[in-house]
Amino acid sequence: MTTRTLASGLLAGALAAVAATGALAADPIKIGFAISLSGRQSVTDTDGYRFAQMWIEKQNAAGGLLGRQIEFVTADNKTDLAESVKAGQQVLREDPDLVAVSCDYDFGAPAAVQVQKAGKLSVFQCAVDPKAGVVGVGPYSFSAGIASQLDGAVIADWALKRKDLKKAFVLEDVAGEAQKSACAGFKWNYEREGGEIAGWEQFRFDDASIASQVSEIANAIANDGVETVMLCSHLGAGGAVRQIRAAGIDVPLLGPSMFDGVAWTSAVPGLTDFYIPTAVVIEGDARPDVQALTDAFEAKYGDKPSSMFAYPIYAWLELWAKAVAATGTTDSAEVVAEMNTYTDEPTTLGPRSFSPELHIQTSMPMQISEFTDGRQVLVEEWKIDEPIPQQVLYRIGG
Amino acid sequence: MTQFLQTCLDAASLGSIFALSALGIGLLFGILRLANVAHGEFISTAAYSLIVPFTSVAAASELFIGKWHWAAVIPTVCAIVVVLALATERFVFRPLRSASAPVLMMASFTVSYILQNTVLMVYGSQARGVNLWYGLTQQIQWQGLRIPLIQIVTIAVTAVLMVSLSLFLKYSRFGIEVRAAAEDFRMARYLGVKANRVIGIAFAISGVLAAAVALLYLPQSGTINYAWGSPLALYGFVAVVVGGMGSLPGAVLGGFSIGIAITMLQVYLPPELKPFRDAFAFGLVIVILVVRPNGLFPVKHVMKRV
Repeated sequence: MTTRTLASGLLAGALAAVAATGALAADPIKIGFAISLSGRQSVTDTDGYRFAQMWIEKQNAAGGLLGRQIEFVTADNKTDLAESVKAGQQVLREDPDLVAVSCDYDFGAPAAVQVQKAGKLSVFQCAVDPKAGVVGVGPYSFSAGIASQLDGAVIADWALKRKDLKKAFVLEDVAGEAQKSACAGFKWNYEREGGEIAGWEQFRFDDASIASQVSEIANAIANDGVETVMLCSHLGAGGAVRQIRAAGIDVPLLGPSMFDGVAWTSAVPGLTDFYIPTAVVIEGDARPDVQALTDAFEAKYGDKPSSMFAYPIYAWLELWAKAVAATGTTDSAEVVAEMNTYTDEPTTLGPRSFSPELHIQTSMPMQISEFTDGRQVLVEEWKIDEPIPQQVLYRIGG
Repeated sequence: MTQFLQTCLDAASLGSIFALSALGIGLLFGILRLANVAHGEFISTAAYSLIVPFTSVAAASELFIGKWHWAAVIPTVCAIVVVLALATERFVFRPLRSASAPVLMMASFTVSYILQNTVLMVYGSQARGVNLWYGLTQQIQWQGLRIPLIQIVTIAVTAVLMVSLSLFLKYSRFGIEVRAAAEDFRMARYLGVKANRVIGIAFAISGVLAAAVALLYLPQSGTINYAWGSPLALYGFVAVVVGGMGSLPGAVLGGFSIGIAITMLQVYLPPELKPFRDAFAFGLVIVILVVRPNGLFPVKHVMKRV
């Protein structure tokens, strides 16, 4: 009887232990999404969200992370600053291991701050401002994106070395900080490499007309020998490109990655000779893994991604998973410490680097592409050879 | 000198757009005391009606109505906006006719919000390229001046519309009714002016003016987004205030003043101050209002109410 009782007890204990282990194994890792699924930011955020889901599905199919499946919870911030705070709090109530916030710094930051306060890890899906990270939110915050300054620096370097364009006119869109940052990166690298900026005008992408700026550019080309125009703006400024080209200004145009995508190009019939750096080229990326990812997205969602800004969260999640696997935990401090050591760490989308000070890409290679005949085609990969200084990244000290 | 003339031409072109926008807003304000914030959305709707809806965000936009012959495009777009303007009048502003000015303004904010979100649902938030009448962007070189054809067309159409509207208001029966209503709405009704008809005409005209703004501005701008018409409506408002609330010539003059001020500031401000161009422009507006609190062309009956 005693033996039977003992055997039963042991069996029960063993079963309980197995059950407990099973429960632990089934305890999922949670990723929260506090992003814009409606409103004007929804295009970029939704496509980034889709890439994140593709990564989660792939990871789960391969056994999850630390032997645990990955689940996600989502809250829509409706492209509203106040709602962003609420969305952050809403997903935090689900006790996530990581929270992805809106691409845009302004809309993502209110949620990211809540996540930082809770001592958890947050990632902007594609913010281009270096403040989206340690300086602006805190040490547990990252951006999966690329600093706008890098756009400007890369295209400046390429224009000088590959196109021999030594004299530029800069047209700066002062309606947003990202556009000004692209100009700051361009100025720093162009002048450092021996280029001359012969004219600098400002505009707003939503200006009814940039006729006076176009006149300035035409004069600078005729009188000062300007060879190219750097247009620090985004695809909302397709009208500016139209006005420039309509004025007969046919010098090569340069721009930041924010022009990525072809939705705006109908504005400029026969547009050609307009170059931008991007993280990926949606149609015809030379890297097979990137093209395969685009194809998988299209197969799953029935349409191509809206722009390159949809992709970076995929690469960032790969690195996060690598850090979680290496440390054996999702603890924010340990994972961040591990990620801070990553230098040119390979991902599906190319190498990525972080440091304790910078949680955004400021040196990775970019893909130069050209808008030509309504299409965006790959030219070549390009990388700058000097790190962007802090005063350029944070636009301090003039 | 050539550069100054070029700047004047650029200023006149921008001023024309603002003047047309101000005329549409000023007309409704004159009659209803309605500051119609949704006028910007009337302009946006006119522009969006030109392209194919529900296009993929990853694809270049294609023209829909916009690819028809211009003689078909103009009446179709005008009709679309007129129907929209009349619908907002019938279903929103008519039930609120006896409401106070702030309530009317809130209602127009609501209309604006609904229309903007409708555009977001149908066309998405991505900026879209629209290649309307690219031939009009051709430049004419004359005596060192660079004159885009669209600028001449814009200035000419603005002039024609202003003159036509003035003649209509002055000599036609409907126009006289509209002016009477603008002068004293209650008295006009006592004298047999039909309120619904007068207000309907005013909304229809403001719709036509919004369509005109869109069709003249789009060949220049080439890109639209869901909030495309809002800045035009904002400048239109400022023009109405500068010109004198309720005064149609004032609204037009105000529009030209704002266009000229912004262009001149863009050209002649020192580079370090250029980012604050609009602040200077609105600073000038404040100065004008301090010197002439009722605007450049004050209207007596409005002053009395104030």
